[in-house]
This record gives sequence, structure tokens and C-alpha cells, in this order.
Amino acid sequence: MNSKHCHHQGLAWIIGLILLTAVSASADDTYTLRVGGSAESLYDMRITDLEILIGLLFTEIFKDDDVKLKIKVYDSDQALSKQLATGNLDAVFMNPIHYLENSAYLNKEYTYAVQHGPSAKTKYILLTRRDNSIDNLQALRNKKLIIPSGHLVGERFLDVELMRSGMPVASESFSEIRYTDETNAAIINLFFGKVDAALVTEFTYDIASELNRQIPQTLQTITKSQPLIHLVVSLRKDFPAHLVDKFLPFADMLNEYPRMHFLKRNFRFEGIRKVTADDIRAMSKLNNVYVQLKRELSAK
Amino acid sequence: MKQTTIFKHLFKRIALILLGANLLFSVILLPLYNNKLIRMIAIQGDTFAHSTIAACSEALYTEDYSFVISYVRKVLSQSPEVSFVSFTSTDGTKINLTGDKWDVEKLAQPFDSSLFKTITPYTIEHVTNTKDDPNANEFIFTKPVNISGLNWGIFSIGLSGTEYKALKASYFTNVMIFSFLLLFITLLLLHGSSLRLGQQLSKLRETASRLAKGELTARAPTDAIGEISVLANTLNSMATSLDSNTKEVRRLARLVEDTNDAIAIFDDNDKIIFVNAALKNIINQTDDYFDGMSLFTFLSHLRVGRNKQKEITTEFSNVELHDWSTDITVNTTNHELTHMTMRIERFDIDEVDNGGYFVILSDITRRKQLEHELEVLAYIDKLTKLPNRRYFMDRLSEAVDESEAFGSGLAVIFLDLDNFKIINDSLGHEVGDIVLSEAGWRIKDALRSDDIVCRLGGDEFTAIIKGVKDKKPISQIAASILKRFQAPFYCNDRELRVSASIGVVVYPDDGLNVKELIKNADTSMYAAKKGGKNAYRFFSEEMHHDIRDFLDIESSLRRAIASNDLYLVYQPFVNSENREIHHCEALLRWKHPERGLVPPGKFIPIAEQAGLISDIGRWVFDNVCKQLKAWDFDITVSINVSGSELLDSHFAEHLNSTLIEHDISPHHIQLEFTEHVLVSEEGKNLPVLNQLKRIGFGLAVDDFGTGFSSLSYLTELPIDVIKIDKSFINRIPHDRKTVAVSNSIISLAHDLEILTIGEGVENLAQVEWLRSHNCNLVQGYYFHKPMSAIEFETLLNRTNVTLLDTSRNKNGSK
Repeated sequence: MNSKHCHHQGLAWIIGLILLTAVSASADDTYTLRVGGSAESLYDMRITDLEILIGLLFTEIFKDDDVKLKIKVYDSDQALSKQLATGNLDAVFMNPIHYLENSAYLNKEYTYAVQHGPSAKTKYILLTRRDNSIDNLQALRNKKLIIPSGHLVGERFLDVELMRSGMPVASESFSEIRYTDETNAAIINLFFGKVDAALVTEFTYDIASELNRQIPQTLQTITKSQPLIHLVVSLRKDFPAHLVDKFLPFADMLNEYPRMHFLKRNFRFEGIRKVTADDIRAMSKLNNVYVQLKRELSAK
Repeated sequence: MKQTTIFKHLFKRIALILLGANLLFSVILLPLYNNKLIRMIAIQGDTFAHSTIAACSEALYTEDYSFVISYVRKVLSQSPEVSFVSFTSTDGTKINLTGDKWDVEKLAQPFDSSLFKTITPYTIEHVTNTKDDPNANEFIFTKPVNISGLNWGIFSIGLSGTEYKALKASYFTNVMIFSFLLLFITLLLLHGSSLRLGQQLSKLRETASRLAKGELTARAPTDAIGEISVLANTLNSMATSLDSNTKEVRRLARLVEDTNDAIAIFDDNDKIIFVNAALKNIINQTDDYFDGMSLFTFLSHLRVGRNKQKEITTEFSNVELHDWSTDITVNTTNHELTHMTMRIERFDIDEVDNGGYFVILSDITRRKQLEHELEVLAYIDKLTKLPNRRYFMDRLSEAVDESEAFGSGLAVIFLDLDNFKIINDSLGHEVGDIVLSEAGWRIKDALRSDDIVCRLGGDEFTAIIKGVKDKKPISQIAASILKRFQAPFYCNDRELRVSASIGVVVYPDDGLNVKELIKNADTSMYAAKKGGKNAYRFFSEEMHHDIRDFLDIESSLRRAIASNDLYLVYQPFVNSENREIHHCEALLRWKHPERGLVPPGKFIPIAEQAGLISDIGRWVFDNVCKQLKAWDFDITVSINVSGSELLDSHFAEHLNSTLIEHDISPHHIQLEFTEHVLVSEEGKNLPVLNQLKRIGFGLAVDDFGTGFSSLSYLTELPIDVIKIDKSFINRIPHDRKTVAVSNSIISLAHDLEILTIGEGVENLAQVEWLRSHNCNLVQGYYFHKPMSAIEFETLLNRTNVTLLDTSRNKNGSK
């Protein structure tokens, strides 16, 4: 299983947990739970598949309760932000960049980072083929880059690195940037020489290497980011706090559900972890460096 | 039910056959099934390949291997039966994908695209136990990849052999299950069928067992199915036949065992295998005694003479006879000589398989005795114990031959008892037999011891006196015989006087052969009879004339009955008181055309001897009825009836029907019988006399006093009239004894209310005596001789005035 796919599976789980929490909060009478997300933040999964997956989870969890689910995946992060701003959503999932932009509507106490692999934070790496003799960012100028969708944090890191090396942002440094729905496809295309570089998470690269031992022999990493959260789920600030508090322990009891064990093993989903202040700061710092470097580059 | 052996064997064989057949078919079909399985796997692989190639064709064409790998891995994750997928492009790049790995391989040699033209649409190869993987078991399906006419390369997939292996195992499992299921169902059905069949066969077996034990009435039920029913019917038919045959054999066995004939059965080795009870009784031995005995030994034990034994064994063994018999005489254990007929007969081969023969000994001792007795009886008269006619003829023939040969004389005596018939009829045959027996011994007593006395039959005796020629000694012998008859015969306290008439012939003077001698002796005896009886006569030629005379009268008499040469005359019974006549007797007269008037005393005996008396009697009765009808006045007519006529059992009926025919009252007819007729054989004629009396006839005793009987019968018989015989009347009134007897008769008759008539009255003294003794009715020449009917009617008209009285007129009296 490639990493993007695993991320999408994990997202479905996050939504399920949100559902569980939200519905439980209004279990006294029939309640319609409204969940929103952005297609731009998804990878390795189609919107329809995600909706089906969330629906199955919802049915599994609330099969004995009178609760309705309403889920909506918007085409862009902007549309999601707009709906969040208008108060039409009870919960959202989005990338950390947009989370920082919409943090005014969201309760940071009930914001969680999705964990795939050994850690909730992952590293973004830039891969090239060894036989291309490209071992630095400068050599990538006017080359072809491939990036899986939903890697907005990774793109921000690459832009920062390019600009630090005196190059413009990726959209200007590479002759072509391809986006792919599957994270694994980025590595394979690089393996077969369809592109010159690929930006993927380190976790994705490790998994691809497990699948094909030729990959680490063929590809090489020329830059790597610090660990960063890549996807968060969060409740609105006006979501009734007593309901959240009452059912909050529920999230910690996931491991006690046998079916959850099966889903976690199948989708390499390790769980969720509450986003810490350091996580927020790291993201904010990266964002701030990007803004500064871009400003400097514009000034030049 | 206990399963029968036949079904156990059947079930075992069917089970083995079914199992064998199933295993054989499963082995035979295995390659076909295997090919089918491989083909199915190939189709599965082809389907997989087709869909995969279709999905990846664009990516392959554009070398977008990420899509190919992603797609294939996704498919592989959902297709566990596919172990790997590989794409090999024409440029020698080969991508191998498994469920959790994939790699790229660069072939040393570029792929030869020309292979696309020769290879089949696909190939499939079963790979097992390879060097790399000893546990390998999979099918490698290979198919060329053609993208819009471009021969891109080769597509290969690894299809797990687990399913194939499982299907194959399932095949064997199913075969075994099917086999055992089929076997089970078959056995179950067979068992179900065999239950009824078994029961039916069991009943057949039970019936056969009962039959084998001798219960021959056992029958098998015939409501079975198919051939068993046929078998049951056949068994029943066999049992019926066996039962019938056994009963017949038992009957025959019982017959053989119980028969008085002694039976021994010999086998083909000439050994006794069976003897019956009669044979054991003869020799007084048991079965063991006879066991294995040969015919020769058997004859020895029967104490058959040695020569006879040899004769029997030789005859029977040497001659190819089916049966052979001989008479033997054996000495039984009781030391009695027993005559037997021995019959030896061979069994037909068809009857008895082992051949053999049987011996039947029939005790003919009794038969021999009877034969001897018959032989004796043939020559002995049973009554008198004297030689009989046959003996007489034989001896006479011998005597004639002897006399002729030696010239010696020979006399033959014929003797006939006088009036024996009267004795026989009046006193019965028992008395007659005594008289005959006594007469025989008297004759024998009068002759020499070597003279032969025989009884020819009836009251006829003969004697053969050899060695005499002169008539003088013969006369002495005849006289001697007659002398011995002078002594009275005592029978049942009766004293009887019996005389004899003897005829004598002398050989060769009176006849040269037996026939002539007998004929002439009979003639001379007859002559003695005619001469007055109680005498002997030597034969003379004149005697033949008398015989011819007798025969002439007989033939003439026959003609006279038919030609009315007979006629009736009537002699009145006169009342001596008033001379009136109310009764007459019809008397028969015969006027011979040549001889003239023949007296009744001559032709009546001839008629009786010739058997004509019944016809004459009917003629008389019929003519009397006619005359009575013609006479129109009241008169009673007496008719004499011979004793011979009463022998006719229809005598009374005939008279009655004749009366009816002529419309005559029976009271106008009186039937007269002699004494010996009325009292013959102890009342033999009494029923017919009573019958005649019931009809209405008057019954009279004619010639009363001449018989031998007592007067007691008068009280027992339905007598109306007694006619005192002329011999009494003749001696009246001078003979004192006769007067006394006659007086007693008349007195007795009056006491018994019986009318008396004196017959043969010839003078007045007789008339007066009779009248003085209350016997007023008289018949005789004193008053009237017999006369014709016309004369009689004239007489009545003249003398009997009362007849003219209309009150006595017959018609008026009616």
C-alpha cells in the first residue's frame, strides 16, 4: 500500500471519529452531523470512495442511533473555508496550512493530527534518479517534478528550500510540475524516468522501497524536511463544549473496538494525536520563512 | 429378517462392481476433468489478462507504469488466486508484480516479436516442485499484449494451483462420496427389494423344507412377483404331483405290504432289497434275514425242491423273458405243504433305474383244494353223495368200451321214483331231498359193491352193472331194488311209501353205444311207469311206439288249443232233496281228429308235462265265462285248476281281467283244486288262494280224501266246498270204515260251514246215504252224465223250475 492511499484511509478514520464524537454529543434526539473537507487536501482516494467509506463507518458506529450524516467534500480549500466561515460545518479536515488560515473558527483544543506510520509528523523528501546525476536543487532547474495531491505542506517546504538555494519557487524553477492522485505513482514515474524529481513523504518512500527493493538503488534523496504534521481534523469553536467533554474519552477508547483494530491494520492507521503548540509553531515558522523568502525574492 | 445368503453375495458383488466401476470411471475421466480444470483456469487467466490488459493498455502504450503497477497491485490485492503478474515489452523490459512487491527486469535478449505469429492465443503451464520452490504449485498463463495492432509484448500471470489442487481433491472426494452414495442408495434399494424377495424366497424355502420333511400338503403362496410366482406355482404343482404320487405309492406300498401274496424285490445284482409281511410270515423271519439274499438262496429258504430251484433259476436267468411263472409247493415253517404260484417279473428300465426284478408268491393252496373239490363235485351228486350224471356218462363210456373190448356183458338201469313230484310239492323239498338221499342208498344197497350207482338228477337214478349178459340176474337185481323200496321212508316223523319204476337195457342187445343205451333205458323206465309204476321193464322195440304216441298227442294237443278241437261239457250238481240244479262242473273234452275222443286222464298229464296246462286252463276259463254270459240264468260253474297254473304269479290277475272282459261275477265260478295243490310246500299257494277268495271265487277241494295231508288245513284255507272223492262214494254205504270216514268228513265240513258234494254217485243208495248225512248235493251218473251246454240248458229248463223264476234270473238278481 502506498503512503497516499494510507493517508486517505486514515482520513476516513478521522472523519469517523468526528462523526462518533459529534453524534454522541447530540444523542438525545435526531441530529444531523455536517462534516466538510477539501478535495485539494485528499490524496490516494477519490471523493466518492471517501464518502462511501465514511458512510460505512457511520453506519457501523451509529447503527443503533437515530443520527443522520451529511458529508461534503468541496473542490477547493477556499470553498471549504467559506463554508466553515458561514457556520455550515460542524467539523472539518484540512491541511495544516489552511488550518492556520482558518484557526479563528476552530477550537485548537479539539484539533488532532492524523498519524500514519511511527509518528504523527512526517518528513517530506525530494527524490531524483541516481543515473541522472542530479544531486542538488540547482541541477533541477527546468526539470520535471511530480507531486502527489494534498502535499501542500511539502510544496511549502520545497518552495522554501528552492528559495534558500537562490532559485525561485517550484512553479517557476521546474519546467513542469505534475500532480498525481496517488503518492506511489510519483515514485514510480520517477523510477521509470517519466519525471526528474518527485516530492513525497518519507513514509511513502519507505513503503515504496519495501515494495520494490530496486527503488532505493535507483532513486536518491537530495533534500528532506523536518517532521511536520500533514493533516488535521478539528471541531468548530461553537460546538457545545459539554458534549465534547462528555464524550471525549471515547476517542481514547478506539483501541478497545475489535473492528477498529482490523481497520487500523488494514489501512496502516496508527491513530490520532492531539496537535500540540510546538506543532503549530513549527508550521507557523515554516509559513513565516516562506513568506519572508518570497518577499525577499520579489524584492530582488 | 435374516438376510439370505444369495442377497449377501449379491450385495457384495454389486458393491464391489459399483465401487470398481466408479473408480474406473473416475480414473478414466480424470484426464478429461484435469483438462477441463486447466481450461477453466486458462479461461480464468484469460479473463483476468483480458481485463488487465484492457485497463492497462493505454498506460502500457504511454509507458505510464505507475498506473500499471498501481492498477495491478490493486487488482492483486483483490485477487488472491493470482500470485504474480508480469509484463514483458518487446524491448526486453519486464515488470514483475506480486501482492506485496514489484520489480523491473531487463532481459538480456530483446523480445522476439515474431513469436506473436506462431504462438497460440495463450499458453498455460503448470509449474510444480521447481528448484526455487519445492512447494511450487501454480499455473503460468501467458498471453500476447496487442495494443491497437501494436505488439507490445507478453502478459503473464501466475495462477495459484491451490484451487486446482482443491478442485482435484474435490473431484476425488466427490467421486468417492458419489460412489458411496450410489452404493448406499443401490444397496438400500436392493435391500428394500430383497426384503420382499427374501420373504418370498424364504416362504419357498420353507415350503420346500416342509415338503422335504414329508409334509406333502405344504404349498407356497403364489402372490409373489415375477419368476418367484412362477417358481411357487411350479413348486406347488410338483408338491401336488408328489402328494398324489406319494399317496398312490403309499397305497401301493400298503397293498404290497398287506397283500396275502408274498412279494420279494431283487436289485440288478440279484439281491433282495424288499420283502413284504406275507413273505416274512411264510418263512417266519424278519427283514434282516432276507437282506442281500439271492434268488437261489431265497428258493432254498422257501424249501423248494432242489430240482425246482434249478429249473427256476435256469429258466429265469437264461431266457430273456419279461416275466415267467410256475407253480411250486413249499414246506412252510408250520410244516404244511403250501401250493404257490411263483411269478418272476423284471422291472422295466423306465420304471426303475437300476433294473432288478420282483417275485410274487401267491398261495394257491385253497385254489388247489377247490380245484380238487370241484373235480370231485364234478362227479359227485351233492345231495345223495352218489356219482352224478357226468361220472355216469364217463363210466358208462368206459364200460361200453370195456365190454366191447372184452366181450363182457353190461346192463344199465334207469330208476325213477313214482309220484315224487307229489311228495315234493305237498311235503316240501326238504322231505323230497331226504327221500332222494334214502332212495339212492337203498339202490346202492341192493347192488354189488363194484356196481356203479349214480343220480342223474331229480328223482332219476341209474346203475351200471358190469359183467352181466343174462336178463335173469339183472331181473333179480331190479327186483331187489324194488323190494328195498317197499320199506317205508321216515321223514320228519312221517312215514312215506315211495315206489320206483325201473327201466333196464343190456349191452349190446339194447344199444351199441352210450347214447342208445341211455335213450332206451329211459324208454323202458317210462314204459314201467305207464305200466302202473312200482315195476321194472326190460327194453323192447315196442316201447318206442308208446313214446311216439306221447309225442303225437302232445303236438295234437297244441293244435287242438288253437283249432277248437277242445270243448266243454257240463255235469250238474243235483240237490238230492228237490232235484234242482244250481251248480255244475265244466269238464274238458278233446276229440282227436284221428284218435277220436281222448280221455282227460290221458291228455291232461301230457299237457302238464308239455307245459300246455296253463294255456288249456285259460281256454277253459275263457269259454266258461262266455257260456255263463250266454246263459241267462243263475248258475255256478266249477272249473278244475291244475297246480301248475298256480305257479303263474299273474294267475289271479288274469282270471279277474277275464271276468271283467266278459262282465261275469266271480260268485258264478267255483275253482276246484286237488288236495296236494292246496297243501303243497307248507302253504306256498296260500297267498294266491286268498287272493282268489278276495276276488270272489268259490274254492273247492276236489277228490277230497285222496291226499296225504291231515284235515287241519281245512281250518286254515279259505275253502267253501269239499267234493268227496269217488273212491269214498263207491264204498258207501257198505264199507263201514269208509262210511265212518265220510261221515266224519261231512260232519267236520258242516262244523266248518263248508259245503260238501258227493262226486261219482252212481246209485240211489249212495244218494240216500249222502242225503241222510246232510250231503244233499251230489254229482254223478246216477242223475246226469256230462252234457253239452245246450243240453244242460234244456235240462235246467225242464227240471229246475226255480230257474224260470224271475227272482232267480241272473240278470234280475243283478
